[in-house]
Amino acid sequence: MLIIGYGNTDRGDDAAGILVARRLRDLGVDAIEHLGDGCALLDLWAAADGFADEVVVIDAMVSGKPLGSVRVWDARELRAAEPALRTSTHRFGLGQAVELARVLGQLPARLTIYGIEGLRFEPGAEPSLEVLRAVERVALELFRKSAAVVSLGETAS
Amino acid sequence: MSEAPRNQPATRTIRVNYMARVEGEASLLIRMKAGKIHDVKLKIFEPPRLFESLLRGRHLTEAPDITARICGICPVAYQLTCAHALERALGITVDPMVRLLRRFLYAGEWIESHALHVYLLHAPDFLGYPDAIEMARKHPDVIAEALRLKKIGNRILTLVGGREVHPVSVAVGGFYKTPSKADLLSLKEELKWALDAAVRKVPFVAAFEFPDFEQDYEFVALSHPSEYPFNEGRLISNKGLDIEAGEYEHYFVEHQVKHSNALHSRLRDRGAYQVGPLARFNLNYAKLPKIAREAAQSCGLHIPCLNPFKSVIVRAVEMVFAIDEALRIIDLYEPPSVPRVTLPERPGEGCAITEAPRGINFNRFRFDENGILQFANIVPPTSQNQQRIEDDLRAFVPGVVALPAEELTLRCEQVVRNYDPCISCATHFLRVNLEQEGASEPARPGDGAC
Repeated sequence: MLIIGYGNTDRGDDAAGILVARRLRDLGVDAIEHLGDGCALLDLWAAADGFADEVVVIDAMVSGKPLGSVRVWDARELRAAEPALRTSTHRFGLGQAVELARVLGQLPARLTIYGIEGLRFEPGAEPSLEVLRAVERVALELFRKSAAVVSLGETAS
Repeated sequence: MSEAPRNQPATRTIRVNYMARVEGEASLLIRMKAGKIHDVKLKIFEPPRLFESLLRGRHLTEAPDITARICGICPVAYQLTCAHALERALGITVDPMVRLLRRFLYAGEWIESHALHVYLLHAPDFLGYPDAIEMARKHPDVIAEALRLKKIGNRILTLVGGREVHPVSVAVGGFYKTPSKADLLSLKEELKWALDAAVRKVPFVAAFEFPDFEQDYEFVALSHPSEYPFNEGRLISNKGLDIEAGEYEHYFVEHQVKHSNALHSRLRDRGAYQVGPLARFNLNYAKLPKIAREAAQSCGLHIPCLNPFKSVIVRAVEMVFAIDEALRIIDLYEPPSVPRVTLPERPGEGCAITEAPRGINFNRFRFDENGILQFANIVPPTSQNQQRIEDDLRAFVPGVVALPAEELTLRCEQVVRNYDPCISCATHFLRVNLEQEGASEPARPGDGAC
């Protein structure tokens, strides 16, 4: 499983995805931090082809749900213009990267998106306490999933 | 140029509140009265970023890393202009291989920036798509190849600069870390593919339909005796300008306009001028490598090219040049014997100009005996082209004013995108909507920039 934390640590709650990646590494699970450029996500997914059965991307979202809420999408259901994921200052964000990959036939076999509801995105702001708690919940869930994948792999071998 | 039809209202306002597929935040306003342009304003509302003030009080060795943060697409332009200006102030000359490696880094930036602009941001205008995703449904191979081209540019930045956005290896006096010959050779096969792909793509771009629109431009670009310009040369124009970087502020003046947070730059006593691909191409055509000249000739692109819409073809040709130059450098490169010159401790002041993908970038810095920056002046390409963009719109709109509102608005956006304006550099979105007196249309959401 390739895990990618997506966002910006200098924009308050936009740090959510990056913080999940860092927490997973603290727990001994490989996770990549990716800053900003949506196009480059396609390269990361392409690089995972053949090496990872599943790709997971964690990003901040603004959906109107309570701060710190977590939503999970199967990329096959994600729309390019998914309003909840338009938190990036880059107008070609995660939703657009998924759609472009779909059009070009470059979507990973399984791509799961975790969105963590944020509120504060000002430059230099600290992430909200509710987001930090959600980061911990998502990191632990992915840690367990990752451990299960490793366990399954060991059983298979 | 067609006249306004009788059924058009006396007053029309084209208002683009959020300009799509540009880097940065801006809006566009055009007011017409009786078929004539009354007012054109490219409004850059992105807040001032105050980089010049941020630099004051910092040590000169910090400056290239700070200036790189001005832009995520063209950080190399800011880093290198800054490093060159400070090196001139200190009276130091870098190792020839350092110069070559910096040129390689600049080539990488041109490749990624031009690939992004030509195929993902500007081509949808010509082919009638709202964005690159919709274009990809009909032209998947074009977009896939464009992404691959962009990636090879980013790989050069990562290899030489340490990372693909806001690279960190450039130092005043050289590089903090230099790659091995084998590192550069690892990119050669992909660059060979890229050169072939870039040449193949030029006719695709040249086949776009271009509006019949030419202006009497003053083109301004660097000119080097033997090189197509990246990082040094005299500043010349097609109307007699021929100066050193140190004379820049005698000939060019920046002024503030109420409607924009970015300064407008003008040639003193002459007004607007154009920088960027079209200027470089027209002034330096003979210095392009044969493969790039042949690519231009094969599609009927000749000098002088006075149609700003055809700047998209020039960018495709310049991509051929940048890839060819990168391959040439790989063959010549050996790790520099002096990766970084020891900096003397003395006060100084110096200027430099380099060619960012969008045009010339001027920097001047002054520092004290401790190397602390006392003054900084940075004039980015978008500030230099802003007045020119407004003048182009003033000249272009009367000829297309009879078009339906939606199409007219798109044409106006296209004029702005001819210049690939990097609005973050100048002070990020360009907003647009069209309204006629008594019948306004809602603002369209923007999309696109990277």
